[in-house]
Amino acid sequence: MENNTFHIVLAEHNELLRKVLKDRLNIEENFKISTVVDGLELQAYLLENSYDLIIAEELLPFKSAFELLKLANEKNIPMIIISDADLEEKILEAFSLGAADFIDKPFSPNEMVARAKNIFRKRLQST
Amino acid sequence: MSSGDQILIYCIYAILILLILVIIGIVISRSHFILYNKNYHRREKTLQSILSMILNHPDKKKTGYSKLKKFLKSDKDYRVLVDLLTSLSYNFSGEYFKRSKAIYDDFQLEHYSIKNLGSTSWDRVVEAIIELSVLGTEKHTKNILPLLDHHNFHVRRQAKIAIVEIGKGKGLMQMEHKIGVMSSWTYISLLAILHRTPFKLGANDLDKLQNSKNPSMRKLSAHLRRFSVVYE
Repeated sequence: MENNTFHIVLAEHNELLRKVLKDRLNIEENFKISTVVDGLELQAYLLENSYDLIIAEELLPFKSAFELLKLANEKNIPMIIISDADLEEKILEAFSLGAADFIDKPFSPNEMVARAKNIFRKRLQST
Repeated sequence: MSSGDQILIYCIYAILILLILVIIGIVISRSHFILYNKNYHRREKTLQSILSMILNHPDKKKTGYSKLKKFLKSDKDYRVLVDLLTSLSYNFSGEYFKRSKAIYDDFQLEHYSIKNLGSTSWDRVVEAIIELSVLGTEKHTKNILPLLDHHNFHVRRQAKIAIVEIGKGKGLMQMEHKIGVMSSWTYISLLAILHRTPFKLGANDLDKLQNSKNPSMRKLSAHLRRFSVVYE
């Protein structure tokens, strides 16, 4: 977090969804967005830098978001998982592995931004 | 050198020339294909940007629409647009779903999907059914109903699912006598749709389903009696 600018990594393999979600997040003045297309790229990003939030689709190519949750937790980076498997076990598993939030598809990009802001608000309050 | 040898040499020359021509032909068509795809990928990216602008900035809807009108030239452009809108509507809810659906409606793309229901290629028909089940309305069940008799299994299965997806209880009643044999996969898909979205069903309709000649429909009605809302 630099001067209240939040750096977010958006991991989504679908080109169209990535574009729309990135543009939506960019509307927020204090958000800086980086995008990745698969799990390996996200892993490399996590190992190299520190971010304020990860928003990742669950089933990323090569490595799923669930597999990268441990690494994100070690680096103290909250992760929001987007999934279309609206199964209770899946949601519970995400939270038990340390996900900050879980969004079920179909979802509203506005809701996604609201959830991201909520996480930042809580972080600011706790510091 | 005998005349037989000469003929043999000519034949070898002819085969070599033919071979070279074939290789040149393959290289040309392949590079044409790569260039075409590269160009089209660039066009698709432009389309994605236009859609993102319309979805993210409703105040710029007019500009976005005029850009979209200028962009749409060929049949392929329309096909890609419908494909992208289906993906957006499938993944998004709320305002973003409404805006995607508005583009589909404002550009009268339902005609495009309906036209494709009559395609000779079964995968194109399945695509069109999915488009209508995601972006269409209850009124489109009448366009999909005849496909329950389609010769292709995939089309029949997708048609059953789409009719319940967009028609809910009414759709179920409309195809009660036409549903035919139902695979476990179709049966579970129908149950998943019906459980996901609560709907109302009249007591008479439920009785009709329970007494249906089709065993799958009778099985389905037992579940519906437990989960659907029955009103008089």
